[in-house]
Amino acid sequence: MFWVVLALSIVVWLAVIGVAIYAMRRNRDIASDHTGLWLILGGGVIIPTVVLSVLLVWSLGVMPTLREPSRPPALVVEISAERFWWRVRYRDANLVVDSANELRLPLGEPVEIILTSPDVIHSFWVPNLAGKMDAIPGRTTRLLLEPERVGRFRGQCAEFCGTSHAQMAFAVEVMPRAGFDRWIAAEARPAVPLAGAVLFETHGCGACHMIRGTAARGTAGPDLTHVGSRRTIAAAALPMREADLIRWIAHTEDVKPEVNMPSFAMLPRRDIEALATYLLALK
Amino acid sequence: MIRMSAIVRHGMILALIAVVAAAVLIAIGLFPVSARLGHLPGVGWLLHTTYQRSVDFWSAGIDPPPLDDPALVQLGAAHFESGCRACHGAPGIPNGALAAAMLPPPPHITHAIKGWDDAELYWIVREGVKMSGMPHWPAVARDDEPWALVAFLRRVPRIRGTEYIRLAQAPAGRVAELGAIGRVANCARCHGMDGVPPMPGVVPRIDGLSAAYLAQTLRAYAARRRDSGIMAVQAVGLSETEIAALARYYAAAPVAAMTVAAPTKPALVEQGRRIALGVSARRLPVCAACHGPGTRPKSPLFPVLAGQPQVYLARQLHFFRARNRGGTSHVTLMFPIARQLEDEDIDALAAYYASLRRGG
Repeated sequence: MFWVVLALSIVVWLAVIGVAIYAMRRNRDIASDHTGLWLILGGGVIIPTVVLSVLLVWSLGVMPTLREPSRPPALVVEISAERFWWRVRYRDANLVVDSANELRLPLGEPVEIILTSPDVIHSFWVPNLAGKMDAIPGRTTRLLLEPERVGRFRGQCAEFCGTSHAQMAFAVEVMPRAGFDRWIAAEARPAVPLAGAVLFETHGCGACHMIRGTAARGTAGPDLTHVGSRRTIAAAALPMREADLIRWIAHTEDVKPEVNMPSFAMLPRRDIEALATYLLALK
Repeated sequence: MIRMSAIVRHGMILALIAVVAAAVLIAIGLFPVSARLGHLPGVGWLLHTTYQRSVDFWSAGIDPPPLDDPALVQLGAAHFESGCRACHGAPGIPNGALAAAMLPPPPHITHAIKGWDDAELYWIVREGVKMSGMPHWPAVARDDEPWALVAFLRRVPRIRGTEYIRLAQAPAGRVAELGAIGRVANCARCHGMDGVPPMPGVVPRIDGLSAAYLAQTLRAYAARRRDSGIMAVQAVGLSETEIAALARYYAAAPVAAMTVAAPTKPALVEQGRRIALGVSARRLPVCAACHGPGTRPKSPLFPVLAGQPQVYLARQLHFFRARNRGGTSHVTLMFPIARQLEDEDIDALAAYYASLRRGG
């Protein structure tokens, strides 16, 4: 297609230049008004319309094949952008794994990101990997990535979505295939049984959060089955450290204004600490 | 012209003298505010006529709800017993001696309601009457509550013999058993001796709730963080000892297997059940994780909701949605949750939890 358009452009360019040179050389008063009119209509309107229409129809026909990945994606990641965090679901031939606020990708393989949103327009942006792609309520948008180097990158919501838009980020880690396989196998497993699960349940955390393998079956907020293995808290608002977890649980609004998760400052301090310890242990 | 201006001049001088005389009278303290002396001739008539015309004018446009629910009548009677009887007496019971010494003396209730329609009674109960000793409803955001009292007032002319005692007071025999916690008698008029209200459908049941929840709730009512004129009258002024004793008393009451009326709209109940278990697509939390049904260990500060009156549950959810509901230390947890609920969700959830049997 490129060569066809290039050749055609050269022909048109030569023709225009030719006509211009011809017009400069010839005697002024030979052409009649009639011939002039036809020259303008034909050369200025009819020929460009026909040529451009043919090219348009032809290029539209070529488009779908152009948009198809050269190789089928090795992995599909469904990401739901929600005020103010990222719901992440990995899907390949034989598994479905739920996670949140972190994206891990295998090196050098095409990955299809499928974006949706339940509330307002967000935009998925990892500057080091690709351009922005909007997540739009009621629609599905797609983005194809093929990371070329190993590393940790930062992703960010790039469409203003509310008070805590700036705190709606995520961590991206591109890892070699073997490491990715080990990680996703671990991510797919239910949580290790720990005593802290009782406290998590008692204080009602399970109403919103899922910890697979425990009684916590909520789906309103992020899946926390392996939250301890993540590098950040609350969509990359804070680093994953015990002190920051305690601060987050007790004062969510201070960290992320208008966040859906209520503050739990009313719990006894030792319970908040125990919850933080429990969550950190969910590797 | 000269005559006119002389009249105006004399009038102005007289008015000035009157104002100065009034100011001196007030400043010296000469005017007798004695209730014993009564009003000057004509003043009583002036005040009373102003009152009647004012109620008539300002109550226009109030649309009364249905008021014939016997439970609503009983709730109104129970509140009347606490809040109104001291001044207005009660059917078959005369006004107290103190009331008779007030100026104006509050009329006995059978006379007080004469000539007023539902909307006018509601307005008087909600707004109170200046300079008469009649208080306004003690909760500003609870325009729903005075209707219970109006429902009772409508019944007053037809109450005979000891019917008022039966409506408004707790069973005397059982109260006597409890000598130490005399205050229970006030609670039991509406909430029953064991936490199950004798007036189903309009008052929340309080059996099966923890002492911590009950005590914090009473403190919230006393501090006016949780808004209710009916509860404020009871809770304000309770001592910490009394609050703790009442909380312990009701927390120890056995969970009563009160029969629950079969739901009138099974489809609504089913919809509520689905919402209570969490709707992933709408990012709704699982109500059941904190409020049951279920047997998992829960925080003592999460109330069990099974078998609560549908009207009560729906009203609380509306309060939560408006961030206008005080309560225990955990009350703020409900604000972001209720924010996501539509009116239909609230109706469905209320219908579902109202349809559940408490205690399994």
